[in-house]
Amino acid sequence: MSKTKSVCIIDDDKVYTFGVKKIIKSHLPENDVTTFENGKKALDGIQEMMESGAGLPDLILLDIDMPEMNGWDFLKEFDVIRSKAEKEVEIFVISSRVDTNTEDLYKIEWDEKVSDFIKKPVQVAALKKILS
Amino acid sequence: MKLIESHRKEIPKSSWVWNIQSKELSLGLTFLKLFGEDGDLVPENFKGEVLKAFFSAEVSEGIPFYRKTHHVINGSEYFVEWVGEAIERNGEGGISKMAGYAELASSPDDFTLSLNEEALFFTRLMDNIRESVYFKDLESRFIKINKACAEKFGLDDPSDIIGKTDFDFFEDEHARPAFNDEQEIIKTEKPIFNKIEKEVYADDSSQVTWASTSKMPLYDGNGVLIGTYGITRDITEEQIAKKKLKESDEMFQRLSEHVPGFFYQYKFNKDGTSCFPFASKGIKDIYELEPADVKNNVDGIRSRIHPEDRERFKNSLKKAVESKSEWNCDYRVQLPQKGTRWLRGNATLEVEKDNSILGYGYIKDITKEKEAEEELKDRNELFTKLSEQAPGFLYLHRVDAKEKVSFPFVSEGIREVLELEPEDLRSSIKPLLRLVHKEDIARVMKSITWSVKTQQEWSCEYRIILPRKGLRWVRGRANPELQADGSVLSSGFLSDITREKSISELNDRLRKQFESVLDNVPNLIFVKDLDGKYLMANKATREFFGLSEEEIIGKKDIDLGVPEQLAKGYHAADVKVVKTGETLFIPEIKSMDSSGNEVYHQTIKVPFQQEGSDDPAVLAVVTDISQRKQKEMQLNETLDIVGEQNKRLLNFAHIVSHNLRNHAGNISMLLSLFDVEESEEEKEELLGYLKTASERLNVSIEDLNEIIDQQYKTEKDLKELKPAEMIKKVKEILISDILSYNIQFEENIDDELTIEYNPAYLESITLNLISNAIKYRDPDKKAKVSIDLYEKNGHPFLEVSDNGLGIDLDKHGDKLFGMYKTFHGNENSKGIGLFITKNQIESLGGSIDVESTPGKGTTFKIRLT
Repeated sequence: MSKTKSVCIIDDDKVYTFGVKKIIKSHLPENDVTTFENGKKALDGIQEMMESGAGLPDLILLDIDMPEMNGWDFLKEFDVIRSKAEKEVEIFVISSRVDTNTEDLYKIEWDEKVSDFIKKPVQVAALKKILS
Repeated sequence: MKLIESHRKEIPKSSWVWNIQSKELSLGLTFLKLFGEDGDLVPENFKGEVLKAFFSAEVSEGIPFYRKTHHVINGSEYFVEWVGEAIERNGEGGISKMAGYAELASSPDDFTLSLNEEALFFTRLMDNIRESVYFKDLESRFIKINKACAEKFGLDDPSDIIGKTDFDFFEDEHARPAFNDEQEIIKTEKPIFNKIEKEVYADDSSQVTWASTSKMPLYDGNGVLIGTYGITRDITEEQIAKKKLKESDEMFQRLSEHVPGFFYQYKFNKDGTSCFPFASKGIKDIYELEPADVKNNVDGIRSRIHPEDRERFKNSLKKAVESKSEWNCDYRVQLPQKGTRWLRGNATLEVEKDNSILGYGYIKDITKEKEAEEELKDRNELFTKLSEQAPGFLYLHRVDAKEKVSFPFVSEGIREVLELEPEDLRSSIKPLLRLVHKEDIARVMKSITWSVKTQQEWSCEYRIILPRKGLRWVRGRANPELQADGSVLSSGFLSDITREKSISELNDRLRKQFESVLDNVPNLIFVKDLDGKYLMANKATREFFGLSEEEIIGKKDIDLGVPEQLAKGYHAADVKVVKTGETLFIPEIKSMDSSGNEVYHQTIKVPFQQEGSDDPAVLAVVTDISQRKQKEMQLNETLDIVGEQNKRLLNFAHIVSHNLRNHAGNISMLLSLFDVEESEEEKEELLGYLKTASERLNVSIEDLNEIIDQQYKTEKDLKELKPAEMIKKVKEILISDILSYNIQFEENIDDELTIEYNPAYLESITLNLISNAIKYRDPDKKAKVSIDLYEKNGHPFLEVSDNGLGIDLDKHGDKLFGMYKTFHGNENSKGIGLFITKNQIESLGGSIDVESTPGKGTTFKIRLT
């Protein structure tokens, strides 16, 4: 069993975040989950976490299509934070935009920053794999 | 010990002389008086009894002689004490004669020495023991010490001690507690026994001794407390030995924790039972048991042993016990966690004094070794079977971690293919390499090394020169696998392909003819390797670059003046073709020809097998489609608006269908959570989310339906319509909203205005605009909607204004008509209606504009045609 991870879900779909949070809580209760409904709020939240000494999350599950600040813009901004911190942060892009056509394109552009691209709706098994 | 004055010193004494050599005992004249009036009755055997006692006594120079004998004379018991010392020595320095006196003691318990004797005896005794003995006064000052003690303190004369204290000899660390102990004894008169003390010397604090000390109160003859006395035994060596034992125990414990495998001490009891007095923590790994589980019996282990190996395991143990030698056994266990594992156990046996047998041993997990062994065996069998039928020969090629090469298996076919014996290659690859054609040897060796290093499949065609058959072509293929021991084992097949090759030479001629055909087609045809170097380029290609064949072959795109960005793209496509092994069709690439004109190409790329080389390459057939493209572009310009609309619709359909998938996914996720949820409260919450998700699903489905409808409605279905009538109809549809929100209409409508329009579109447009005006009314104001219909400059216009919430166009203007990339099926989305409205208006040649001020209201102005 993996050690405690802090997981951050960034997605504007409240039903989805509720469900994923619940799955994490029931299958891997030792994980600690925070949710943000768009990139902007996530950036602010992560800044706050850093300032409060809680540090960066271990894992980010990131949606692409979100109001105010989408997933790509978040990644660009987050890179600045990430380069300053010593901690390794795993990022998984989870979006309905990911499909066989787009995945290759995304990989070319974002492969260094993102661990994997996962198509929505996400399967419970896939979630468990990411968290382990 | 109390020095008590003897009350029996008046008793008469008699002298005696004992000649040790002649065993003669002479008793003094007064001896019989010891027995009083009955002296006459002393029996004849008396002397014999005494001599017997004398013989059993230890006679030595330093120790005063003392013996007590017991006699029964005329029914009365007599005890006689004999005290004496050596008086004569023989030539060798041994004692030849002892003399002393005897006296009668009334009972064994009641015996004491005379004060003098006692003092003498005591002093001698004290000086002859190894323990330190010392007497101290009430202030813990030494009164007297024995020889051993004086030696310990480095004093030549024990009497030098008088007046000194422990503090003169020891550091405070020892002297202080010793002093305190003595004062405590003086106070309480309670002795201290066998106290372990650490003694640190004052003159050399590095010198430390360990001692066991007993101290007691000291009384004078009148029973008055005058000080303390004590005896101290040096136990330094004992202590060191104990400490070392403990350390080595700990060391072993630590060691065994870090070494994989399981160390143990095994005991076979005489009653047939056995146990593990010591089991290292490795037992967890090996048997998935705790050391405590096997402390008293071995049932836990017995049940783990694989049923098929139990008998063999038992026999091996039995044999080892019978021969009392070593035990060695490979056997399987079935573990609750890890399943079946192979173990290798060994032990050395020792027979104990009580005839039980002790074994010291070590057990390790050898599953990996066993598996590799089995696999090799299987493979060998398979190979032998296969090689009987296969043309060519099969082999196993092993390169160990030290890069030593061997062929553990070579099938018979080698005689036919290489004219060698299977044994020739057993331990060296050299006999094979000697046969390889000079021009091919470097390539062959390089490819083998690469294959072993990367564990990628090896495949190579090369020439060999055989003693009998001469020049032959062979093809080798092998699959390398990394083994547990770090070696690489390749299973391969080498066959003679000389016949195949001669066919390919025929092909060569055909190819030349083909090349001349290639040069006459207008398409650019060329072959590049994976480095991007041109291997072949037809005439059309050469003309395209304006270069000769020599200037192209062996060069890369970038050398030929292709812009870097494009060259990169071409190369990526080549890599993809080789990787997938599939044909790639690139419908359109824009580039420049040698004169700088913009050209469009269509390209087909296929994987290409080069002659005489195993390196992959790619064949490309490029067709110039610039002319076609030009026409297409002209056509596109006219189709632009329509195309744009279609694209928008398609994009929209995409987004909606993504939303459908999301909602459906969410519902399925929530349902699966619902199934496993037990708490009613949580279930309630889940239901809430489930409701939200299904509502959104409904909305998305409606959106999708609307788009589908739109696609089926054709804008060409035009009729003569009066918009004024349509406005009336729409107001009827919305009557319930209009009444319940008390909407006030201000209309300025040209009733006679007639347009040629699609009726469904007009209804949809009108309905959307008016219902939006109602939907986004300001709840704090009386809602007003004004509708204007008029003709201006030959175009019909429809304007719908409200005094509602308004929209911040600077912020949301681009999103208003659903032109945004993302579509969120949540409450703040109002995209789809206006999006469709815009599409419908534009498809019939009209346009839509919006003016809005937050808090004031919104006006939509539509030019219908």
